[in-house]
Amino acid sequence: MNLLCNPVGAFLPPKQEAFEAQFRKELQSRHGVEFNRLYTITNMPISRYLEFLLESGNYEQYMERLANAFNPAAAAGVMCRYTISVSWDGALYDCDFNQMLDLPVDHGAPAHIRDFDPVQLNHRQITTRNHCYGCTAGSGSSCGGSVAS
Amino acid sequence: METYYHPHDLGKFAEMGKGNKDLWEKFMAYYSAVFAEGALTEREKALIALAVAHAVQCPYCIDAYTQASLEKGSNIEEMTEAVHVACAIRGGASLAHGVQMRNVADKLSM
Repeated sequence: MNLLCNPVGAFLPPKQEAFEAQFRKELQSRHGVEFNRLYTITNMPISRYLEFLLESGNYEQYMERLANAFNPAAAAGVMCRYTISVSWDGALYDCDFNQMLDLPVDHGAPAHIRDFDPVQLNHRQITTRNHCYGCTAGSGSSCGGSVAS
Repeated sequence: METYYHPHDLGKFAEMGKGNKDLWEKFMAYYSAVFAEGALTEREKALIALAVAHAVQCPYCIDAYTQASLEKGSNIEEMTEAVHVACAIRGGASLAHGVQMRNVADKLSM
């Protein structure tokens, strides 16, 4: 069993390793529950979460927090460097967030599965926007949790 | 509205280094070392800082360590208890000085 943690608010997730240790101790002592891994994931400032940030007046502060926490080591391990998202109609995206935002693969590689070209994809320039700071803040964030220690 | 404390002023904290770079760097090195993982976890240290922030009633520290506590994985129940610890110590300190009051009153009274 793996656990997943998204912050419930306008703040960054805890350090994965420390939080996993804390959860392991608490779940064992309180409920006798054991698990394999705990993954922490940063909330991306898009869609419903973006609406929350704007409505609660936290947008500016959260974006500043993400930008100030930019970690080059995390940027080196982000998912868009080694995976792509494929939509139901075959369109290619650098990640599922770009897919949600309708930002297809661009800058040097075909944007449809029928033209799939791994060499070109490996050398494409990834399409980035402000939400990308979500994956590069602190210890980084991916579907597999943090990407840097 | 005009207020004495502005939340965005916390971002200007580093400007204190302009007055004396050496002391600023020594303070920051010490500060970083204090809050690093040690015998206490970073999460526990953030909770202590949150409680102290309330005891010294520093609005910048309250902002910073509320956020830090959440980001270290504490929940609102734990944070509230930390604030109560600060409250108890502050209140207890006042009450404990009642002993001095009683000592003086005893001496003055017939």
